[in-house]
Amino acid sequence: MTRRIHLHAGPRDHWIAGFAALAIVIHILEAGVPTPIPGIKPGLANVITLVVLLRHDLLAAIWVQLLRVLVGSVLIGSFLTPTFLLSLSGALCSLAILALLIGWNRLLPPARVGPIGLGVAAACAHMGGQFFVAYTAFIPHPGLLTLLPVLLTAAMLFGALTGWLAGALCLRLDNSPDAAAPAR
Amino acid sequence: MKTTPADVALIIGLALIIGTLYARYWSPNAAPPTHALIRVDDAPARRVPLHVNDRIVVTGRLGDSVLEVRDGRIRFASSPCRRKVCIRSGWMHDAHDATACLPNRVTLSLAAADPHYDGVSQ
Repeated sequence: MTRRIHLHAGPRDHWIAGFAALAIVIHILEAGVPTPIPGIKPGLANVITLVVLLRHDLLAAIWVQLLRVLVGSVLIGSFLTPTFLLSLSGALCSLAILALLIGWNRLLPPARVGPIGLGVAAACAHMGGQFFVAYTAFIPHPGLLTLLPVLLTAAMLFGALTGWLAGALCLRLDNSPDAAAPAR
Repeated sequence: MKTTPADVALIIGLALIIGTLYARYWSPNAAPPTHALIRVDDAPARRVPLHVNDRIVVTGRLGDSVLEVRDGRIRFASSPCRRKVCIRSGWMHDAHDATACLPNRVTLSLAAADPHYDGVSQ
């Protein structure tokens, strides 16, 4: 005997899917832009993750981030390749740091970390996690360590940029007349 | 978009970590030389520690070259060659610095106990 399972997509599922779609589009556009050093890219898709985190909640941000990594890799054709594993490990690390910092902001509201701090921390965690996996699993060559400070510097700069963009976007969204109270 | 004090603290902390990484992986003098290698003709290199101030006399084809070790540096103090290129190259103090007195067939190079590179071409 078989039982039918009905999956109902609620409003929350819909807007998470919408944000994930936005992030995926940015992710794919960015994948087409050549970069001077492998491993360095702006990571503008993370603006979407940060906006979701700032305006909604951590769980939604986790959904958007992981959907972006999964669907983005399927569409680019890198699913389950080393690139995908690097992307996934970076995404998990940045989510872990964001979760920590959101917890920190709840505990100590006067010393809260703003969008720029969140962006920088997430980008550096992303790069750090990615680098750790690359170094331990794929290229355990000490020469790779020489790249680490350069990559982290780029991560810091681009993290500040994505954080700033996410913060500015949130301000805009808060002030826009169309924006009703964010769906919860 | 303004930064909060926590943002600034976070960025400074990360910058310090990255700075340390640069110092560790990007400074060529990270490993100071610990000894000098002196070769005369084809003879095996003679290792001379740089932490002991000393005067070393080596005998080459033309005669005696005198090398002076002082404060972790080493130089040719005198050599029987004509143009004194070796003496004019002065103190050697970085790992992989090298000079030679070709007429007297004496070469001098500095090495570190924990070399960052296999070799450096100059």
